[in-house]
Amino acid sequence: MKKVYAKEEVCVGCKLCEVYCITSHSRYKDVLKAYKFDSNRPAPRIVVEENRPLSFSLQCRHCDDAPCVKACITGAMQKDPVTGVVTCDTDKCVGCWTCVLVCGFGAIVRDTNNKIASKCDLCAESGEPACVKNCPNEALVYEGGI
Amino acid sequence: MRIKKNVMLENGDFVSYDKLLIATGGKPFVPPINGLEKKNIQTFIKLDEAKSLKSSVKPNSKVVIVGGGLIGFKAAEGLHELGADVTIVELADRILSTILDNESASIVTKRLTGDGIKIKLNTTVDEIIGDDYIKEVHLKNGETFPADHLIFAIGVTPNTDVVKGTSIKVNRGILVDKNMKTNLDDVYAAGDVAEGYDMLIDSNRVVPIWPSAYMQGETAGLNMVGIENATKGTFPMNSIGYKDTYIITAGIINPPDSSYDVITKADYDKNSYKKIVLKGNNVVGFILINDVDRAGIYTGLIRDRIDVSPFKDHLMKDDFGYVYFPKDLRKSKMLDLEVH
Ligand SMILES: Cc1cc2nc3c(=O)[nH]c(=O)nc-3n(C[C@H](O)[C@H](O)[C@H](O)COP(=O)(O)OP(=O)(O)OC[C@H]3O[C@@H](n4cnc5c(N)ncnc54)[C@H](O)[C@@H]3O)c2cc1C
Ligand code: SF4
Ligand code: SF4
Repeated sequence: MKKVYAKEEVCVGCKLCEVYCITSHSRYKDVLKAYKFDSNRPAPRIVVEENRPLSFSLQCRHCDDAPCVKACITGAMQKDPVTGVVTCDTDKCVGCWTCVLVCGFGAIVRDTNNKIASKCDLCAESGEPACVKNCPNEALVYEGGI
Repeated sequence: MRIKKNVMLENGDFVSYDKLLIATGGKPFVPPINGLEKKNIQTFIKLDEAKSLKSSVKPNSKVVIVGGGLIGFKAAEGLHELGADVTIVELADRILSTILDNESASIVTKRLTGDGIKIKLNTTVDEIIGDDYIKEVHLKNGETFPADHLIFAIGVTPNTDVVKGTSIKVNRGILVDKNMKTNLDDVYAAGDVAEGYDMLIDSNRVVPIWPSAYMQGETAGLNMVGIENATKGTFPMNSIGYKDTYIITAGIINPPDSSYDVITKADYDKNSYKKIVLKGNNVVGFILINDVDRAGIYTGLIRDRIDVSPFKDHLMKDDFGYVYFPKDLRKSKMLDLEVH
């Protein structure tokens, strides 16, 4: 399946991917509005890891054998059989963090305000991951595998 | 001669099978003590039990929870939210003794006692006193105190009733191989009823948690339809919490001997605690209190038996992550270069 891959060689750690991830999942699909007006502004579903000079952006790998889906105690975490995208049905999620316990990439963010697991959905709504689109250094690519 | 493969139902009907899966789960353990027949005494396993408790417990009801394990702990949280006066009675020297060490248990204990939950350690109930309804509880340590509800939460045992009197081998649970097959061909078992392979202790044991049940069920199912699949084995892992206190633990958390290395870090201002247990160059267990983000990275290190020697010194860092992995390991995982 198509996934977001990081090119650590060209990442400068600017964290714009985080900014645009927040924007993409905010009610307002606009950076300024998302930051200024969204009282329930989402957390980024990406982690930019840094240990200078190395940095890269890491998000859900939409694993074939997704451990989070198997471990989820409510069935909220599901892998779409057609697209392969792993998403959390936040109506079912109870915030038990069992998925956080098993995701080997540390890719699930705890939204403790809403008590739900938050993770990369590849910007399912817009069709193209916002992090990839807005990375100024092309350090993120959206493709079928490197 | 072809063996007839049937199960007999309670009503006497027979159902034939090609492959059989036993997934009868666990049943709550209730100790044989005096006074069990009194009213308002129950276990805490099924939704109906939780519902009936919710409707009968009133603010200031005096509820005694026997067992400070995972189930008792969650029961305490819910009952406290209902306004009940909660007392946990625990036989071990700390609550959540299977998933916490002394230090982490004391952090969690403080959170509970801060809410007014009483915790009595190193003892258990001796007798339940009352007429029709429970009125008092008498403990082994000599204490007696008033109670109007009592919950047994001292664990589940594999529900092996259904195989009693058969030649299916049972130890604590139904013994299964790495394909989840019992000693009988075509008969499989999975979940809380099964005693399957634990990769960390390199032998079989009952691990009554959801992730294990799922993975065992999946393995059993695949093999039952003819797709050969052997489990790498499971190991204990739990994510549990009390209100704003989060606990994630996995694997061996209280090493049995000195052949293990232990690293710990505590920040008492933040009520956070981190412990990692290593055997040689492998992580084999961890405890995280409150600072639980990205816990799964450690679980992954255990699951994939990663040699952590190149980044051992970074394991405790607040920002520990893939950035500290050797480049080839990081790339193989992040870029899907692994052979699946
Ligand atoms: C209160 C509570 C909270 C829990 N919270 C967590 C948690 O947060 N995380 C976690 O990982 N795990 C948790 N667990 C454990 C988890 O629920 C179990 O590990 C899991 O449900 C085991 O699945 P299973 O299919 O083996 O058994 P079960 O889910 O117990 O299913 C067994 C089924 O078999 C039926 N059955 C039994 N005998 C027969 C028979 N003779 N004939 C026909 N049917 C029969 C039972 O009625 C039941 O429906 C919790 C358990 C409890 C009780
Ligand atoms: S959340 Fe983690 S375990 Fe689940 S699919 Fe994504 S990377 Fe895999
Ligand atoms: S936090 Fe939500 S998605 Fe994660 S395991 Fe629990 S219920 Fe499932």
